[in-house]
Amino acid sequence: MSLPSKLLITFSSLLLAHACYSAHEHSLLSTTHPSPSSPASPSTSPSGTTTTGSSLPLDITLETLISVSLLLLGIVSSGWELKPISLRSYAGMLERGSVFPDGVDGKTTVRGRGIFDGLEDRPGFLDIRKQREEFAQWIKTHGDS
Amino acid sequence: MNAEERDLQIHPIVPENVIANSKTIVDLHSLSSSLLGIAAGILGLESYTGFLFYLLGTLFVSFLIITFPMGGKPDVYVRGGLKDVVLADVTGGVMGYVLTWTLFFGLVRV
Repeated sequence: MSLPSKLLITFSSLLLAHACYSAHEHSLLSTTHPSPSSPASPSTSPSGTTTTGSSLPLDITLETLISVSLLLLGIVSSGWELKPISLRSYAGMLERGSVFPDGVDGKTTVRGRGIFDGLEDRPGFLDIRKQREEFAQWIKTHGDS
Repeated sequence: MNAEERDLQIHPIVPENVIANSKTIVDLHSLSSSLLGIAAGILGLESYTGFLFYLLGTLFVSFLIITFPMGGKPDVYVRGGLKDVVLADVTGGVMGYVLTWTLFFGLVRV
């Protein structure tokens, strides 16, 4: 994750939290003081407790929209890796060494190999006679005790 | 052998990369739909307005995905192209969206 997107995510999260708190305060204010300017007016909030979304001030609305847009921008632009799906370009990237398959360490493997690494790494013939001699040696040294 | 199979024979694809890419896109969409739900709850949207907001937000996120990680070429990374980026995991996204939408609607308007 790069530094600009990290900063962007932090800043816009704070902005979003502030917008949420402001909206909460605004709804509290409008419920405790139903209509300070004209208490007798029947047109404002007839039920008394619920407020509609259109009563939210314009600055809180704008703050919410801008902070969410910036947050989405920060999240999407924070270094998500996508790999090309066509075998041609992916194998080309593997052979150039610009990308490595999962589970392969980029520092130790030789470059210039492709998608058939598994075939290259197959073990050769087992020297079964040598292994049997080693086992016989091991039996001689450890088996008696 | 129909046309699609022949096309796959001529231009083979890497299944692991297809799965990894679609997983990344679904992750991004579900994360962003939760955030959109937070915004909708703060704004106090109701019924159709809320779902319209989700639609617009998802289109915005798809535009961002195509612009930033894909560099404007969705066909390179997703088999279905543009359609698979926009419509990736819509049901799961709506679930997460409605969840946070109702949560923040209730939190903000006590």
